[in-house]
Amino acid sequence: MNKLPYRNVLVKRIIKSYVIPCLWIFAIAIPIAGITKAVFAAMLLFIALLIFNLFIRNRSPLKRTEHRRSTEAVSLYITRYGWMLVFTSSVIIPLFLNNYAIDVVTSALFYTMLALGLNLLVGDLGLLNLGYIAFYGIGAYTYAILYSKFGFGFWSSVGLGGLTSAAISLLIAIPTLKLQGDYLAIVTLGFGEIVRITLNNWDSLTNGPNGIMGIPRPSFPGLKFLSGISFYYLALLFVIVQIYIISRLGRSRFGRYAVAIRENEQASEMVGIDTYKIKILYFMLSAFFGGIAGVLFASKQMFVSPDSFTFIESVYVLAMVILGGMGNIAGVIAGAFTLVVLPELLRGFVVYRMLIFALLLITMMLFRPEGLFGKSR
Amino acid sequence: MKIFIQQVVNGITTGSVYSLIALGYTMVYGIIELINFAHGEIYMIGAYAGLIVLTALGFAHLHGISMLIIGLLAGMLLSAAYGFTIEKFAYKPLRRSSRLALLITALGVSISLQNFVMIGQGASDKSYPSVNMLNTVYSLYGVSITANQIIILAVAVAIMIGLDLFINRSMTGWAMKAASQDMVTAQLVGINIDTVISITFIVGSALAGAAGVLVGFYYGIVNFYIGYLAGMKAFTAAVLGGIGDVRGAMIGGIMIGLFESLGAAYISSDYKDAFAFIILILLLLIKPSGLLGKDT
Repeated sequence: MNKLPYRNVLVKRIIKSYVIPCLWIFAIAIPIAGITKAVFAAMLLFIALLIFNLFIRNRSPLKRTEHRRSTEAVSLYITRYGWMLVFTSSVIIPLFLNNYAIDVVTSALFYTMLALGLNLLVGDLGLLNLGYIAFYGIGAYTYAILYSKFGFGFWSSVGLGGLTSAAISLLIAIPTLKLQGDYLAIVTLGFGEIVRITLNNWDSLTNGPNGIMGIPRPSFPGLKFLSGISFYYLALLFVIVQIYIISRLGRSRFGRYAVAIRENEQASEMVGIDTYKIKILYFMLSAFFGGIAGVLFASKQMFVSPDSFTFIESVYVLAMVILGGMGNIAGVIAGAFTLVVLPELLRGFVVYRMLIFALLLITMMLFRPEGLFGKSR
Repeated sequence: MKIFIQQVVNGITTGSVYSLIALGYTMVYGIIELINFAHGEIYMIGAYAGLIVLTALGFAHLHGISMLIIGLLAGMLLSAAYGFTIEKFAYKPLRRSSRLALLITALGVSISLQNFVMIGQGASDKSYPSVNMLNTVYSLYGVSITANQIIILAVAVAIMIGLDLFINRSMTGWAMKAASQDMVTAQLVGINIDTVISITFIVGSALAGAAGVLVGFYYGIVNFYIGYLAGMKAFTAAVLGGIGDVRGAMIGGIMIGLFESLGAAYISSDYKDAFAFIILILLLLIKPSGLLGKDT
C-alpha cells in the first residue's frame, strides 16, 4: 500500500464523502423507519452525493456562469414567442380533455393566480409571506357569506372578496412591514393560523368546521358557467387579466422601486423611495389577487371549509414561486402547473408525495436557488 | 381562586416544556440567525424515540423512574443526532447564501421530517406507556397536581440550570457566546465555528428531545404532526423572551404556557391555539426585541 499513496487518498475520500454519510443516515433512520426504509434512505443519499460530486461540485465558476446565461436565454425566448404559444394552447388544449383533466387544469389556474400574487411579495420585493393562503380563504369565505347571508351574486362578490382581503391585509401590513424579513415570515404565519382558527370556530358566521355549502356558480346574461370547461375559460380570463396587470406593474415606476428595494433597501431609501409605502402597496395587491382567486375557488367548489386553507397550502404556493424562479412571471406559471399536474401523475406514490415535494424544495435551494427559469432581470 | 391556581399550575407545566423547546430556537438563532422551522419536528422525533426504545425494551417490566430516564436518554440522543444531521446536510452548505433560501430550506426539512416519521411510524396516534407512579395525584387546598407535572417541572428546571452553567461557565459555552456576538472575530481568536454550530444544534435538539419525551408521558399520545404547533408556540416564547437570549427563552416559555392555560379558562378554549400567535403579533408591534432582548 505504501507504494500507492494515491490509492490510499482515494479510498479515504470515498469513505469520508460517501460511506460515512450513508452509514450515518442509515443508523439514525433505523429507529424511526425500520431497516428496509433506512436502506432506501441511505441509497437515496448515496445517489444524491454521487450526482453532486460528479456534476455539480467540480463545475468551474466560468462554466456555472455559462450555464446561467443559457437559461437566461431560454427565459427571454419564452417572453418573446412563447406567450403566443402558451395562450393558444391554453385555449385549444382543454377542448380535447376529459372532465377530470379539466378540473386539474382549472385548479392549476387557481394556483397560478395565487403564485403570481405571492410572487409580487417574494419575487419582486424579497419578502416572505408564510400565511398567504389566508387571503385565499378570506376571499372564498367573503363570497360564501355574502351569498348565504345577503344574497350577493358572483360578480359583485369578486370585487368585494378582493377588497376584503386587501383591507384585512392592511391591518397586518401596517405594523409588521416595519419588521425585518424573518419576523415578517413568522407574523404572516401566525396570521394565517389565526384566520384558519377563526374560520373554524366562529360558528355563527362561518358555520365552523362544517363549512358553507350551496355556493352558486357565476352566471352572465345568456351564459351560465356550469360545465367544467366553461368555468375553465372564466378562470383563464381572470388569469390573463392578472398577468396583464402584473406585467404592467412590473414595468411601471412601482415595479422598478420594488426591485430596487429587494436589491438594497437602504440605498433605495437614500434615493428617495418610500419603501414602507411600496411594501404596503405590494402587500395589499398580493392579498387582493389572493382574495379574487378565493372567490373563484369557492364558486368552482360550490363549498368552502377551513380545511382548504392550512399552512401547508401556503408552503405549496411558495414552492410554486420558488420552483419556477422568483420574480419571473413565466417561471411562476410553469411552477404552478408543474406542482399541480405532477402530483396527479404521481397518484401511485400518494404517501411519498409530500416527502418528495419537500426534498425537492431542499434540493432546489441547495443547487439552484434562483429557480428553474432563473431571473428575468 | 382555586381554578386560577389550578390553571397557573397547569400553565407552568406546559410552559416549562415550551421553554425547553424555545431554548433550541433561541440558541440556533443567536448563532446563525436562522429560524429553524425543523426544530418542532426534532421535538416530535424525541417523543417518538422515547416511545420506540421503551417499546423495544418491553416497558411493562420496568420501574417508573427507570422508564422515564431511559426514555429521556433515548429521546435526547436521537433528537441530537437528527439536529446534528440536518445542520450538516441542509444548513451548512447554505451558510453563505441568502436568508430566504435558508429559511425555505428549513421549511423543507420540517416537512420532510414530518412525512418521514409518518411513513416510518404510521399516521395514527401512538400511545405512551401509562405509568401508575406518574399518575399519582397530590391535592393541596383543593389544587391538584400530578406526579407527572412535578417531574416535568423538576427535569425542566434541572436541564435549564445545567444549560445555564454550561453556557456561562464552560469553555465551549463561552465559545458559543462569542460566536453569536461576532462570528468572524470568534474565528480570528481560534474558535472553530463549525464545531460550535454543531454543538449548538446538538444541545438545542437534545433539549427538544427531552421535552418530547416529557410531553409524551404527560399527554399519553404522540403523533407525527405534534411538532408544528408546539414548535410555533415555542418560537413565540423565544421571541417573547428576546430571541438569542437563553434566559429570555426560559421565561418566555413559562409565560406562553400561562397565557395559554389562563386564556383557555377565562376567555375561550376554542381559541386556545391562537393565543400564542396573537401574543406574538402584539409583541412584535410593541417591543420587537422581546422582554430581555437588546434594542438594535
